[in-house]
Amino acid sequence: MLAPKRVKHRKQHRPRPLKGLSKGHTQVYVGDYGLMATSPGWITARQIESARVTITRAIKRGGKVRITIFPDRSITKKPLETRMGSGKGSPEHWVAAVKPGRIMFELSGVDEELAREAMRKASHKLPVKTKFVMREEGGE
Amino acid sequence: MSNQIKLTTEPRDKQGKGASGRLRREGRVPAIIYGYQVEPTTVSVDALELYHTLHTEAGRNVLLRLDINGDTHLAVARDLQTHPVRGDYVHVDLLAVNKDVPITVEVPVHLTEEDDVADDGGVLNQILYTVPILVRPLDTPNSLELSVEGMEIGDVRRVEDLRDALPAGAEFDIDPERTVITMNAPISEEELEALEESAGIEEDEPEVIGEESGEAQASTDADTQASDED
Repeated sequence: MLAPKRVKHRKQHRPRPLKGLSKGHTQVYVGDYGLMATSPGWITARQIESARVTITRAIKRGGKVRITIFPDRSITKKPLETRMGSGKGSPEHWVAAVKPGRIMFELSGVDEELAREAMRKASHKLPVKTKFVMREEGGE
Repeated sequence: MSNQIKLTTEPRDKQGKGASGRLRREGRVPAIIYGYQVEPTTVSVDALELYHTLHTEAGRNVLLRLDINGDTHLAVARDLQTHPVRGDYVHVDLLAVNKDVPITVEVPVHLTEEDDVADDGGVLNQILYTVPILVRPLDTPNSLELSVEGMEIGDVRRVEDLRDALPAGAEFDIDPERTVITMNAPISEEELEALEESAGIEEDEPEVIGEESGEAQASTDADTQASDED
């Protein structure tokens, strides 16, 4: 699963509620098709891995999948039945904070129908609303 | 690209996000014109007209004919800003150009004869989808066609291979040795199986920058948990 190799601090402040729209990677850059988030949310490393496996199984050996988000925010949790206090809990998992407009997965080397089906299946593994997008033709 | 499309612009005096937002709600797109023989002027264009203008065969490289203060200017769309989710246009720069001076444009690369690649199971992997070229505005091609006929596993097509598709007088604005497309070997059964399997949960905690090892921190955590349970 995706996780940072080196971090500056073991524990971080809990990410604030996500407001606004994504500022980067809002277009399909390196593939032909993409899966865009249309609602905000935290996507865990497990969910990203699950979506990746789903896409890979759907496209078989034809295309290439690229993951364009990375879970770099650590979420801590206190153990069950523990009294409050005594500091912050221990890191539980890693999440990627995703805002609307962010392309999360890119796909190339397959036809549109198969790409749509693969992305549809992957979207069921994610906690955000999504839409299928294609690369914009032409340059500047 | 020989055809030019007329784009009607209206001057706008009020600027800022409030005025621009009102314009967008009325179905117009804020824009600015600058460049050759034009003082930077803020204008607005009809959103639907702009959409249709930029969705012709020439794509975003379409040559626009603008009427500014009674003079006709040629322009190209630059720095097109779109809404991240809806995709509608938020702002556009219109760069006035001199028809005799070359400008840099990003021209899409279209693959041809994709059905005629060698039948060895290879997978085409396109790396560059557009190529920047220096060309006079009137000569800008709609696209550059690259034949992939007969490509075998390990074959590479570079920017240099697109030279035949360039119009006369045009030059690449990129290293001609850059790779446009490669033919990769298909992944093996074992690799596919490995890809289709979910990666396990990694128990190792990430290394903390500036700390000797994670053990000291882990033991501190264990102490706090123990005292918490008391």
